[in-house]
Amino acid sequence: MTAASRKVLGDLAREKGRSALVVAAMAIGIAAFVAVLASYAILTRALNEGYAATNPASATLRMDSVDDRMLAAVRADPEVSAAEARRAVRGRIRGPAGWRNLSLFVVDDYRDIRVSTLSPEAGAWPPGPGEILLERDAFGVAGARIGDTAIVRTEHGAGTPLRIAGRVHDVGQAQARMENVVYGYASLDTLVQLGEERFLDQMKIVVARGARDAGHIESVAAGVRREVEALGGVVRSVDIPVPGEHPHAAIMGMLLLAMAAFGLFAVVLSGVLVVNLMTAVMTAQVRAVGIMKAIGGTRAGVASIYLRQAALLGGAAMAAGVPAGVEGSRILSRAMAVFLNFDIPSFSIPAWIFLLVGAVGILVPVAAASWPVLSASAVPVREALDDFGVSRTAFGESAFDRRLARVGGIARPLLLSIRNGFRRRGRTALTVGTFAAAGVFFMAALNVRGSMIRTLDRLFAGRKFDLTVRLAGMSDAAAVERAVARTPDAALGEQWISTEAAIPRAKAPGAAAEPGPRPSGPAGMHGGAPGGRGEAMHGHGAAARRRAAP
Amino acid sequence: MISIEALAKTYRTPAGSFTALRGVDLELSAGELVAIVGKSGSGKSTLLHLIGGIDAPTSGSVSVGGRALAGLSGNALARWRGETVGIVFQFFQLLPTLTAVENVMLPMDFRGEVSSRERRPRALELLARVDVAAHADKLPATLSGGQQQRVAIARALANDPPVILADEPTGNLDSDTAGDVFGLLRALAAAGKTVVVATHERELGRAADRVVTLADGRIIAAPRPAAAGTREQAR
Repeated sequence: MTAASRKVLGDLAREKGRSALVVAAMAIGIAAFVAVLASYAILTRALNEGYAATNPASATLRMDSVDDRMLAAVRADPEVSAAEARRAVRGRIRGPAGWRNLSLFVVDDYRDIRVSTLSPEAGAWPPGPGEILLERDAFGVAGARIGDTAIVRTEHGAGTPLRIAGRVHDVGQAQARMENVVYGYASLDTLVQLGEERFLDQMKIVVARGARDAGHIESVAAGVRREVEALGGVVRSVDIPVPGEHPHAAIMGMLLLAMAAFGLFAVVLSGVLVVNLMTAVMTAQVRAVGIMKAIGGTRAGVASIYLRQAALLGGAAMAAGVPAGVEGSRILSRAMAVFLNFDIPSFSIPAWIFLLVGAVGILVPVAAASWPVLSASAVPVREALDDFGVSRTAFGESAFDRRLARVGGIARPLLLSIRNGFRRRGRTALTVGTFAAAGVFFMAALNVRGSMIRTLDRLFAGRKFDLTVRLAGMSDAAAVERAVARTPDAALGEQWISTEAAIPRAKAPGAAAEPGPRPSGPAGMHGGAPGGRGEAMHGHGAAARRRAAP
Repeated sequence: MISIEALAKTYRTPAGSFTALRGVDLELSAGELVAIVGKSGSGKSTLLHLIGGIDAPTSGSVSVGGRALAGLSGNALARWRGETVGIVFQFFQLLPTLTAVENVMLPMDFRGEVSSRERRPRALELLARVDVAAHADKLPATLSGGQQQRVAIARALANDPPVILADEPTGNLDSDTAGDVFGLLRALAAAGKTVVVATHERELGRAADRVVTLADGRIIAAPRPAAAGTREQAR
C-alpha cells in the first residue's frame, strides 16, 4: 500500500467520530434507497408473475346469459386461447362481524378453471352445494373463520345459511379490506339455493397472441362479440383491462414513487453531510495540503487522496446500508404484499439494483466532497502552510464583516457566537440550506397529509348522504319517498338509477367515434327516477352520468 | 545552481502592503551549504519560499539548475519541486497520520519515479542515513523533536533532489540536537547537494560555507567563499 493510501486510512481513523456520523447518515440514505428500489423490483416481479400465472382474462363480455354453444364457438376461434363463463352476483352476507356487502362469484366447474384462476389455500375445494369459499383477505371483513355459517342474501333470495368451507386467493381482485366487501365463491347449485336463476352472465376470454396489445385484444373481443351475437347472445358491455397489468400496479407504483422520493432525498441529504464533513476535514487539512504540495504533490494528486476518503466513506456506508436495505426491502415487500393481497415467491434482488446503488453510493460522496476538496487543494502552497484552520481571510476584511462588527448592544458571548457564525459563510449557508431543505420536505409531507384529509372530508361532505340503500329492482318513486319520510331521523332522500353502458372508443381527433367495446371497465350510468328530466354529462374518465333534476 | 536576480516580494494585507524582499541578487553553487541569517521579519523565509517555488515573486527571477521558475503553473512547480527540491521546515511538518517511513515514502508516491516495490526499502535506507531507522514505523507524535526533524530530512531526500532548502531546521531543537541536524545538512552538502538553510542562529550559520545576511529584505553581507566563486552582493 502506498503512503498516500495509508494517509487516506489514517485520516479517516483520525476523524472517527465525524466519519462514523457521515457513514451512519449515508447508510440510512442508502438503506432507504435500496429498500425502495429492491421492493419495487420484488413487488413488480411478484405482482406481474403472480398475476400472469392466473392466466388473467384479456377481456370480459358482460352478457344476459352464456350458453354452451356460445362457449364452444368462442373456444373454436383461433384468436382465442381460452374462454370461460362466470357470474358475479351482488348480495349481503352476515357473519360474526354483522352484515357486509358481498360480491359472489359463480363458476360452473371449479376443477377446470383456466382463466383468472383461483388458488385454494385451506379448507374445501371445490365448494360443494350449500358452501361458500371466501377470498383470504375477506375473512377479516366478514370476521369469519372456516367452518362458520353465514347468512347470504342476494337480490332474489330471502337469506340462506351457507357454510364457509374454505379459503382461496384471488390475485386479480382488489383488496377486500380496502373495498370493505366480502368476496365469495360458490357453485351454480349453491346459487340456485340462494334463490337465483341458474345461469352465467360473463364470458372471460384470453387472446391466443398479442396478449399485451390492447388494440389487438379490442379487435378480438369485437370478433367474439359478433360470434356471440350471431348465436343470439346479448352483450351488454365488454371490459378490457390494461393488458398484462395487475389492477393494483398503479397504486403500488404511486406508493413506491412516494417512498423513492424520500429515499432519494435521504441520499441527497447524506451527500450534504459529506460536504459538511469534507469541508471540516479540509479546513483542518489545509496545512497538510500545503506540505504535500511542497514535497511534490500536484493538485490532482493531493485531491485524489481526499476524494478516496470520500469514496471509502461511501463504501463503508454501502457495507452497512445495503444489507439493511435488503432486509428493509423484505419487510417493505411483505407489508405491501399483505396490503395489496398477493404473495411473494422470491425476494431475490436483480443485479442492476446493486450496480446502481454501488454507483450512487460512491458517486454521491465523491461528488459531494469534490467542491471542498478541490477548493482546498487549489490553495497556494505558502497560504496553505500559513493556514490557521479557521478562515484564510481575516474577519474584518470584507464589508459584510465590518457591518456585522457594528452590531452591538447585546451580550459579548452572544456577539461572539454571531460573528463566529459568519467566519466561514459558505459552511454556514450550507448548514442553513440543509436544515431548510429538510424542513421543506417535512412540511411538504405534513401539508400533503393535511391536504389529503381535507380533500377527503370535502369529498364526503359533497356527497351529502350517510347511507345508500340498493333496491332489488325498479320501484315506484313516490312509494320510496314515502318510505324515506316515514323513517325516523331520515332528513332527506334522493333516488338514483345505476346501470352499465359502454362508450365507443374515440379515434384520432376529428375522426368519427368507432363503435365497439371500450378498453376499460364498464361506464357507470346513473339516472333519476323514471320520468325525471335527465341531463347527461361526462364525469371522470369515460364514465357518463345522468342525474335526476331536483 | 541557483541564480536569483533583482528578487522582490511585497505582500498585500488588509493592514496595508508589506515588502519582505527588496531586489535580492544571489548566486549559489552546487555542493554549497549556505546559511541565510537575519532577524525575524528580515525576509529569510520569503527568500527560501521563492527559491522553492512555494511563493511567486512580485518582481525579479529565480532559476534553479538553469530552469526559470517564472511562468510555471502550480502543478508544474509541484512536479519540479518533487524532482529538484527537498524542503525541511522549522516545525517538521510531518503528516501526523503517517508513520516515519510512510512520510518518507510520500514524495516518492507523488513523483512515481521510484517503483512502488523499492519505495519502502529506499525510505528505510534514508532513515538509516539520518539515524532514525529504529523509529521507522512510529507515528510522528511518538518521536522527539530531533527525531522528527531527522525524518523530515530523510523525506527531503526521498527523490534525491539536488537542492535542499531548510527553513529554521533547528529552531525547535535543543542545542545538541541542533548541532546534529546541522551536521546532517553539512554532510548532504559534502555529498554534492546545494543546501540553503534559513536560520537566526548565527553560531550555526558560521558552520556554513557561506553566510548571507538579510536585514529588512536586503542582503547586507554575503561573503564569497574561496572555492565557490559566487557573486557577492551587498546592498
